[in-house]
Amino acid sequence: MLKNTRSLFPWLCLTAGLLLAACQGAAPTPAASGRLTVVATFSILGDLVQRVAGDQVELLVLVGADGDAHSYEPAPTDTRALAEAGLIFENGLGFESWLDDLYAASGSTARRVVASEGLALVAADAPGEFDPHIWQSVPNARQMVKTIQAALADADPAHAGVYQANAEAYLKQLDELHAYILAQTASLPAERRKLVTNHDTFAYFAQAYGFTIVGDALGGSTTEGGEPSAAQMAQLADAIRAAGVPAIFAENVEGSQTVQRLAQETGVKLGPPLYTDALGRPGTPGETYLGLMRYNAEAIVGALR
Amino acid sequence: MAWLTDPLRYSFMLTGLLAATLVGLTCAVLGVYVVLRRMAFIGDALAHTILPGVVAAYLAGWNLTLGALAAGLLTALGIGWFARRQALREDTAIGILFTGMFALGILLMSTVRSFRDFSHILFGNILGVTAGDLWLMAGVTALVLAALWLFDKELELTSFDPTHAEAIGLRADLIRYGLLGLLALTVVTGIQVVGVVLTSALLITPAAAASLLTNRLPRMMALAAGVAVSAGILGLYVSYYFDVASGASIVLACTAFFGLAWALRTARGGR
Repeated sequence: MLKNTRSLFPWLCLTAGLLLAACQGAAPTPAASGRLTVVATFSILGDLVQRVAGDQVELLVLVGADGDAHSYEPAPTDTRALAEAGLIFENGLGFESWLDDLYAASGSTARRVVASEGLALVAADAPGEFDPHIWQSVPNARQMVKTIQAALADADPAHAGVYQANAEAYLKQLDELHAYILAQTASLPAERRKLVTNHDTFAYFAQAYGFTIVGDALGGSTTEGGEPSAAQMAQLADAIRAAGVPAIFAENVEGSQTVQRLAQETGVKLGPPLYTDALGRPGTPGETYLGLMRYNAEAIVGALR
Repeated sequence: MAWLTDPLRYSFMLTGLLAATLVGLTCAVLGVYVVLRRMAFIGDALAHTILPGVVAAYLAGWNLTLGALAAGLLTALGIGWFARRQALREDTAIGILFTGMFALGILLMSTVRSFRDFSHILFGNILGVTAGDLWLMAGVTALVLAALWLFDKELELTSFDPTHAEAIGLRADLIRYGLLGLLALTVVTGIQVVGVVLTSALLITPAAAASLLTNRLPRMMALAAGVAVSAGILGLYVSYYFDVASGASIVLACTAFFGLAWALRTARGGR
């Protein structure tokens, strides 16, 4: 038996060596169509990139509709997507905590464009960290679109004119959206503009449209924090009662058990689930960024009125 | 005494305490047989195998708890089947089925491309227990207690002296299936309280503590139940006053009671 095992050893070494060699030989291949291949890390950013790029690029989105980028586990196809990409768009601010490792492992040399660069950021609870949920304010999305346009034009100068025209048309739509949300929220009395949501995602929304954040059920800016302790539940229930919050909200990327329980506890209305960190599936109101923001604003104003 | 009643102002604390009591009672009583039959691994195994059931139910749009129950019962049957054939030892059968099922759950989860809705399955959410969950827990508790009361002779005999049990015509394999089925039900409710990773603690630790202090079965069950229910209540109060995770507090309270039982036994000169 022992002899048999020993005689296997050289074969094992050989197999391992061949596998290693095969791994190192893998090289990125250019897109078959010859168009620029672009990766966006999650659905909302993907939508913005798509609007600017039109059909000039091959776009691949890693975390899709209703997917949670905070607790995402990459698949091998994602490594390949990064390896083949000519340009990578990410949100930054720790939102895609898994991207650095994935990028290194893929051997990709593509430029990484951080969409949150140049924005006025809201500080998060941990020192030196910032709230990554920048897209919840339309003026931020405006700035992101400009960043995306510049990066695309830089990588693919031949179509710079197309990107500019697409971006300008989309910026006009964003301006209309911003005006609409302002009008919607302005119809709500200031003392009713109070938000309690599942995880801490609406800081930029609150800032842009004049809301106060009373608290969030998961006690943090990621969905990964586990469940709240009994003390946190009690504090939040007290805060909801004290602030006289008319309604609290669940979200599309995370379960709503804790929020439901809080609504029961405090006797306030449970508003419809809001789109937080991902677009909705096709056919839902949140399937585009424009639809998502419009839906959220209407849902919030409707429930708090 | 205000510190005792203060948390009870919140309805989520009341439901949480009720849930901890029901689940603690069931787990502890059944756990005595688990410990006596040296099946300690089974609680962990059943808790993990529930994952694919929950994910499949989520994908199909069914009730998550029913999916969990189906997966748990299926595994219980599978373990019983493989072990009955004597082709495999029971611990090997458990090891194969539980890792296979858990991997299937993770694979299904990756098709959803997010861990949405599943984190509370891994870590439990006793503060999110709903009225419906409470009814299910009460039902399971009633069923388990009734089954143990009706079949206590059979269970006791097959646990302590399987050869004698066979000789007087008891179907040890049927009793084993029954016990595994009850365990699957119990574990599904245990997951609500402390989650997949810690459920086996509720099953084993109180029963093990009790087994250190007595050899008599009824007394052992009463002691285990006392330990589990006290640990549930203590853990929730600790979570309330020290702002720490409730599931982990409950399990650590169980562990502390076990330490206490060990110390008591040592003090009594029992080695």
